[in-house]
Amino acid sequence: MKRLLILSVLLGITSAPAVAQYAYTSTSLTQGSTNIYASTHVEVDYYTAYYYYVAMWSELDPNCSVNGYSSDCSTLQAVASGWSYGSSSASWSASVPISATSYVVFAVPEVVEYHEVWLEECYCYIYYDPYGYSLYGGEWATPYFYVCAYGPVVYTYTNVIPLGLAYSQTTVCPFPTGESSTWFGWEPGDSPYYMAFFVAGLQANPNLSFDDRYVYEDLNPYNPFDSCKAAWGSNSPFDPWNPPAGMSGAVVGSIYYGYGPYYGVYYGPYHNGYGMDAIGWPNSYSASVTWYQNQMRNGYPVPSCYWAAYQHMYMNGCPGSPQQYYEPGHSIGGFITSSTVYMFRAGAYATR
Amino acid sequence: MKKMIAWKALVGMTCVIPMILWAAQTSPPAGESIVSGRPLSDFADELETRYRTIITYEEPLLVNSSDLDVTLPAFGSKIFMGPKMRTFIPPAIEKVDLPNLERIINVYNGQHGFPSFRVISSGYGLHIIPDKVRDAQGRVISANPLLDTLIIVPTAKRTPWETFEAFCQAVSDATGITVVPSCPSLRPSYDELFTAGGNPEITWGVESVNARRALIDLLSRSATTLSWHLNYAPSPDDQFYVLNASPILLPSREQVLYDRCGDCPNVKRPIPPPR
Repeated sequence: MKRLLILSVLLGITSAPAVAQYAYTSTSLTQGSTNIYASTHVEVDYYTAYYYYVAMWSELDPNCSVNGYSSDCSTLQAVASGWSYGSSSASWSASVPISATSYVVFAVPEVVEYHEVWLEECYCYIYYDPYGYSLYGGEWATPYFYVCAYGPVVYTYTNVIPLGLAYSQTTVCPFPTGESSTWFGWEPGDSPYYMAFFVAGLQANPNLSFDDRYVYEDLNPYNPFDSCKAAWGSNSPFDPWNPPAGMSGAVVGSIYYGYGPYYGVYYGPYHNGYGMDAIGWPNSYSASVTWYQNQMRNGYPVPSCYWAAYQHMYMNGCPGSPQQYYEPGHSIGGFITSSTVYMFRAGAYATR
Repeated sequence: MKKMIAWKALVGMTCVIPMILWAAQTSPPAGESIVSGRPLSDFADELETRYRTIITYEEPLLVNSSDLDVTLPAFGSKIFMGPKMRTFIPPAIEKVDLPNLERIINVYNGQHGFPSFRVISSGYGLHIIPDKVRDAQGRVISANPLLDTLIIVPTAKRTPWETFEAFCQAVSDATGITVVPSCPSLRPSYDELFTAGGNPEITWGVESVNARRALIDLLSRSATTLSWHLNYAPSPDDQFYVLNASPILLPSREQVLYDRCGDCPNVKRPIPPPR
């Protein structure tokens, strides 16, 4: 009988169970972070046990080949592991700061099958009872019944089969954490030219690339303010300055990029740069600066004045709806004193 | 270092003060009083914004002391003069057209006497121009609007801003009074407003043409509607005009850009942010 059992196993009658397993990831993107969910699921056709291992990796360089553990550009974020029985799922989730750590997130569940086959072996005597009943116990089902002489003896058959890796990937759309400014220079030309150029950059993990994304500014809902006109009122023959239209531009990364034909300013390369932001009074309004300075030298009516505005920064998704990535935004503006003109943008300054 | 700290303190002020003082710059709606040295100009701005109609404003030469406010300097010897503060209560109107604007001007003239104004219209818009003014002795004389002067601007290829400068220089040459060009648009620049990214130079000039007509002809070539204020600075040591050319503002104070440009392939329109 034992030989028959072994033979039956070999013939597949009690062969290794059919086990299916898969994995997936999903993300729920929110401002500043993403909730990542990874799962492995195993289906078996009978009772078994399996060991699961789910790993979440983030890959910062989108050009890296995604091949799991061996990728140098991947960073292990977390793992989940344990034993499970029968058809079941194992899942894991975490919140990952999208702006700093992740670009591509993928789950690598590894399922190792460890199943046990329980076999009963016994030596039995089979009787025939035409009335369907046996005084010696047994079963009523048939006129045949058996009585075990001994046993049953349980033999455990174990089998450990590495089922390999299932793999899934999801792309998380990163956004910058803020703005950076670097003063580049003044508008070319002799004084009085009061337009300062700042290289607008994106603050983020340096491994992140925002190439081909689109950045644009918005001054609302904060009202820009011209304190010079407010101080002089209608005594100034100059109209108050109009709020500047929001700047916009594609993230150009590592190419030389010109601001435009009117200023003739070219710069670069800058990583994650998206343009040159011109802050200040253009040549067409510089006469007002000179006039205000002349009035200040006569002590009328204030020693300095300024204009200021707040810029909210937006970036398009990849793809997806634009998101504001810089709240409450950075300030831009300029000061005038009797002898100095001073511009600022996102912590960078220029004095003339 | 102390200087930098002082700067940063000034910068920090910008975070708080703007919201407090902002109300001082907005024009009140019709029916409410406007207190300003240029109340008619302020109300014209309000109408421009509300009705998206060009209403230009030109100021007369102010020479009579009753039309001027005098401020003594805190130090130095230069006396500062500005237009006299006036209160104007505009009438309510249903729409902006020549008759309605004339009615507004009549109400203004009735409230203030002189200097008085009148309205003319052109294919470009409505124009508030000075009518009568008091001379230094108090006699009422014709205001002789500056832009009624015949000017000559040599035809040449220039940038739009250079052309505007040439226009102002021509008016200065013809009248003997300095006219300073100014455009309060920080971005886009005047040239960008005018060309919308197209040809950066224009060829323009006029020969013995009324300056206002010449200005209308020039600004009609712009891709952006530009209105103007011709304001006078009357201080004894610093007398000049400023010709402010500016896009019309929306109620949000955003500029109306490239509205005269049917097809501006080169203009980089900003993506409207999500609201």
